[in-house]
Amino acid sequence: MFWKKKRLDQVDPDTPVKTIADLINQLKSNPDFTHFKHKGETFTCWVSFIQTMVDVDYIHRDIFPVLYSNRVHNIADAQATLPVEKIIRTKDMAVIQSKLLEGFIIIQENENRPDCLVIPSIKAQGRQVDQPEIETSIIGPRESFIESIDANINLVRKRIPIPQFSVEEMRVGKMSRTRVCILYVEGIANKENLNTIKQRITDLEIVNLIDATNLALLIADNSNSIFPQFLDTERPDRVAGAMCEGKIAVVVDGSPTALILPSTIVEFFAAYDDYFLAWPIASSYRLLRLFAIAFSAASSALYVAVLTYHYQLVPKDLMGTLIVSRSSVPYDPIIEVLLLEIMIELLREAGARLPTKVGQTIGIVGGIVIGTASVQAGVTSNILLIIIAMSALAAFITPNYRMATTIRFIRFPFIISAQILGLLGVALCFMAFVCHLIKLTSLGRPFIEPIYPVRVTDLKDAYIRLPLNQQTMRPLFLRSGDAHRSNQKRLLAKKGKHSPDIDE
Amino acid sequence: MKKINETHTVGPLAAFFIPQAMQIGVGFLSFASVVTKASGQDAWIAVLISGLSTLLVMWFILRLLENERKYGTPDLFSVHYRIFGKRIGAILNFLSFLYVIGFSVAYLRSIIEILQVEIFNQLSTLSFSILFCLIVWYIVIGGIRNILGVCLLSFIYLVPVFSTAIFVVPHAHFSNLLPIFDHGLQDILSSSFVSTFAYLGFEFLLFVYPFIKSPKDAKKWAYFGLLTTMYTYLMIVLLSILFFGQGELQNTIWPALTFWKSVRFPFLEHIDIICVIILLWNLVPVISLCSWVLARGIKFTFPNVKMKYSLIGILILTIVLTVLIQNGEQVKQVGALINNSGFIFIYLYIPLLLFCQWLKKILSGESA
Repeated sequence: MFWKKKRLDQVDPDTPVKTIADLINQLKSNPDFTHFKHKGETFTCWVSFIQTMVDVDYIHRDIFPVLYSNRVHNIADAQATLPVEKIIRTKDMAVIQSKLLEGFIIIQENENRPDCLVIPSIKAQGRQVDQPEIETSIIGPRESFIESIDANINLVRKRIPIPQFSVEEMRVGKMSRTRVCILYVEGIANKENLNTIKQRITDLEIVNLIDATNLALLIADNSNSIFPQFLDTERPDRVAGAMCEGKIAVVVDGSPTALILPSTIVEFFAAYDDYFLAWPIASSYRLLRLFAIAFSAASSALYVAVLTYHYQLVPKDLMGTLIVSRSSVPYDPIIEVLLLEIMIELLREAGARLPTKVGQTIGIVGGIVIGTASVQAGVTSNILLIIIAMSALAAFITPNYRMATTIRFIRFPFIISAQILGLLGVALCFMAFVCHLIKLTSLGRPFIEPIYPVRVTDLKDAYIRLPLNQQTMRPLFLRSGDAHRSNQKRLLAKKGKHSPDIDE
Repeated sequence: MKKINETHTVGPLAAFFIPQAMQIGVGFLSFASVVTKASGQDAWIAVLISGLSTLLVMWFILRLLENERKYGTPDLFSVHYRIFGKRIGAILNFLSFLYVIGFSVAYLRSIIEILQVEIFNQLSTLSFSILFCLIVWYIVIGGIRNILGVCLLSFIYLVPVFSTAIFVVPHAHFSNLLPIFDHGLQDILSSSFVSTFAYLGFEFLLFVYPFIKSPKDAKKWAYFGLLTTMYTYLMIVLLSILFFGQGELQNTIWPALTFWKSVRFPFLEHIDIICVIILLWNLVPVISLCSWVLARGIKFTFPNVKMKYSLIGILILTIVLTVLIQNGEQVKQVGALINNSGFIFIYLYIPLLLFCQWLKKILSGESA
């Protein structure tokens, strides 16, 4: 078709250069590429590596002394004597090229022949394991993922030290060649889920993959939905917990978050702290969160609807307060609400973008000054100010940041429909969102699972969290290989047959 | 028609939620005043009778469908085709289409009528039904599983609406129920007849049945669903009799709304608007299931027409028919029409169909 112009022939970085001489020539101009000939008494070879990618100390300490010693006569000797595991001897140009660029050393006997040794010497660089900053918790473990995929896998694996713990690695991105690892517990994770994930990741046609959340968007069931369909977390304990339930985790190199798949909507509103508190307390926190979300999504829309169309719903005494508060405001409730909502959004966005130290100050100054001043100036009513501030707070009660932004976003369609059709509009908008949620799937599993389809055993860990020893089943929607978490019979046998009477 | 894929079937609980969602609806707002017209304080007996009779009809329906299972898809369309042949079967199917679309339009229009009286006097029938049909379209393209999801949610959302009945208790006059059995059988039966409209809807199981997994378990859920509906209606009638005086009850068009106007909270003057809006939720499964049934029926008759395309036509037709009904009087007439045809459909036609099925079996000389 005429609107689909033929693009220029794209350079495909997947195709390897033809010969090793080409590769070396291509890299030669880079200042950090080292390529030299070593001439020893018994053995002569060509060494090449990228200085910025390899651990130079390690090469000087452990590799060169062996290579330069008199024991080595040919390349096979070198392979046998070098004190390094996982040395590859290959002629495959694709392997050579990718390894060289990842930080391996290449040793050739002849500069123009591709027969060579590939020795791993990757420089590990990055920050130390740190405290979680997004999903903070007051009690419980304080480790969070970092940018190195190996460290992240280590954090999870040490929590599940069993041989069934499996890792599968693949590379994504034509140019970035990002390492993506799928972690699961064999025998518990559902095979179908696993295959779906692998299929989706290998089918990706992208140039570079930066982050796990980026991957989550790319492999989502419905990429047009405003609801995140895969849970992202920076807590290794949460990942390990989910894997024991039969879920699958995906970690991406260079990303301090892991994805948990498949997930349901209630998991986005569950903080991991809930499992560290007594169940009545944890349950009431979850219910509080649920209320907060409902409040956050609907409060300003209800304000618009009630004050614009349905003032007969307001009791007389409350009406008096509202009238006094709104008497100096010169325009409709919708304008007032939009003004304040956008102001709060600005504060939030500024707080996120500004450097930490400035950000806090600006947030406080902005919040207090703008808030009080706008009420005193008569631009907004103070009741609305309370409502909006509370709903902004309530939105960020959501433990997951991506879900919190969704909740912040959702209120705008509600406000606009409230202006158009009043409470009826709010109801229609709510219907549309709920219908969307009913349709939504996460990895082919229903997204609002314990509610529809109804699964009573999964409801034990949804809006409320029942005692942990009552949760003997793994989540049903996962169709895990082993549905039981613990052996019910043994659990009952340990308790004994009869409970003693009073004073017995 | 192709065999139904297992990924598109629904669990046995569907037999509870689908008839339930189809039955309970806008009818119950005016239910109490309509039913008590003829039989006064004895109306609850009438409601009980028609409720129990629905159980019998459900038995007929399940019998009919189970007998049909060995010949192919157990739904009404294939029953018609098999028993009456292609031509007469198609005519009967067309008549059932008319019933289904009538049901959906009557429902949609009567809730718009309530919205126009209670909330927005100038609410445009056209724009509201277009907005609404967009949501319905979005549901129905997701298939039967999504429709079941909406049925389930509408059940959940209606629970708070029905629990407002608790506010009747302080104002209940139990002497309103006396004298019991003051009315003749004829009065009571005529009350039962008018209460049929409220009970209509469970016959949609005739169309959904092939999509239900493990139909054996589904049977008890189907009866249980009918009993729940009966209980709900019985409660509504009893509480309305206890709350209102007889003359007042019969002169109110929507007694439930009048009652909701009297319920007060510290931050709410009255709750009628909120209850009506929650009731809107009940409209979604009804219209979705009706449109789904029609689209499926069209595909059954003309296998080349895809459901996703015929659905658009059906929704446009629903909108047009809804707009054609202009005022409250016409809404009432359409309601009465659906009531009568529904009465004929469930109490006369379904037993007749079961009889025809039996006759066909005898005539074709199969052993029992």
